[in-house]
Amino acid sequence: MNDAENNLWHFYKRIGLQDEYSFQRSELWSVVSAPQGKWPSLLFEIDIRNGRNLLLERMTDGIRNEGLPCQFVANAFMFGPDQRSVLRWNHFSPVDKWTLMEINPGTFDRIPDAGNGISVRTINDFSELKDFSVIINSELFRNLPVDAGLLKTLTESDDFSVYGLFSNGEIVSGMLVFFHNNVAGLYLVVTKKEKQRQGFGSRLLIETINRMKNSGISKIILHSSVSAFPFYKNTGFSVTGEMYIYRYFSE
Amino acid sequence: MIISGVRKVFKKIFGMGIPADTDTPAGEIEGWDSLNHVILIRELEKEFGIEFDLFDALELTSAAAIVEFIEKKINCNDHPGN
Repeated sequence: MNDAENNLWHFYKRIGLQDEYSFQRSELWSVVSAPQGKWPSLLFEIDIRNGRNLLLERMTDGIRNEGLPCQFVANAFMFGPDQRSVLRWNHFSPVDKWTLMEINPGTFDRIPDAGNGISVRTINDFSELKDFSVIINSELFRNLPVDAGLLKTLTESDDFSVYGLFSNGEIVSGMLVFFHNNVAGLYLVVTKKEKQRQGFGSRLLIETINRMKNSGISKIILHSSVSAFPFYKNTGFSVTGEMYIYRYFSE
Repeated sequence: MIISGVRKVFKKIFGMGIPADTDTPAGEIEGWDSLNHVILIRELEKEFGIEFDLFDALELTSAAAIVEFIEKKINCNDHPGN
């Protein structure tokens, strides 16, 4: 298991252990569930040692009869080109691809200029976290919104921080950082739609990474969507693997 | 024509035809999220009688990319010896 995968599993576990959320480990998978209609709800830490067919049959049964979330995330090697037909037979489709990427905290020796009135800082205040969640839910998760209360609870722990970039006092860009075993995982990295492609995302990313120098963090990881991949590659992140999100379709 | 078939499927899924700029990314088209993407691909399979590799299909994030992909697929099926 690589650092990006390990960080993600612990990230979901930590969320699942919050009040109103749940985390369960069974023989074949782990599950994180949010309150109805909220993010995140999916299966992860999948075990294929007993066969992919058995895994998918058990999942289908759980989805249909026990209210199990209908999505799971798995490393790309679990369903390689020779094993993909089993997904179709069992009514699962890949719905998203995440490229696992990493960078060293010492990569950047200067912070890019993004203009006047710009500041980057951690966010703990509920109203600012709510503003951040509005951007996330508009740009990233229209179907399963992130709850601002969850962000508030997480930021009260030592292993989570939310960083925001403010332009003239207004939050423009933000991200949630999860620290685990000297690895920092960047999650929910987002910039307001009308402020994209103006250097704000780069500034937030590079300034946050620079702050991790000399802090004991050995590596920074993230899981990039297909559309964000060129941005992270151009910033200097290198690829370490791929994961897919699969969803069960009942028809 | 491939473009008219794709336009028909877009209309069915998103309630609108193909945008004037066929390179418009999925994120900028109302309703084109990851779930509707799978439904879109399944409808295109039915419309054109072809099967997509669902993993490759994740990279088809504009109408132009879809049309190009279907053109290649159909031409390949028409000329299996080439």
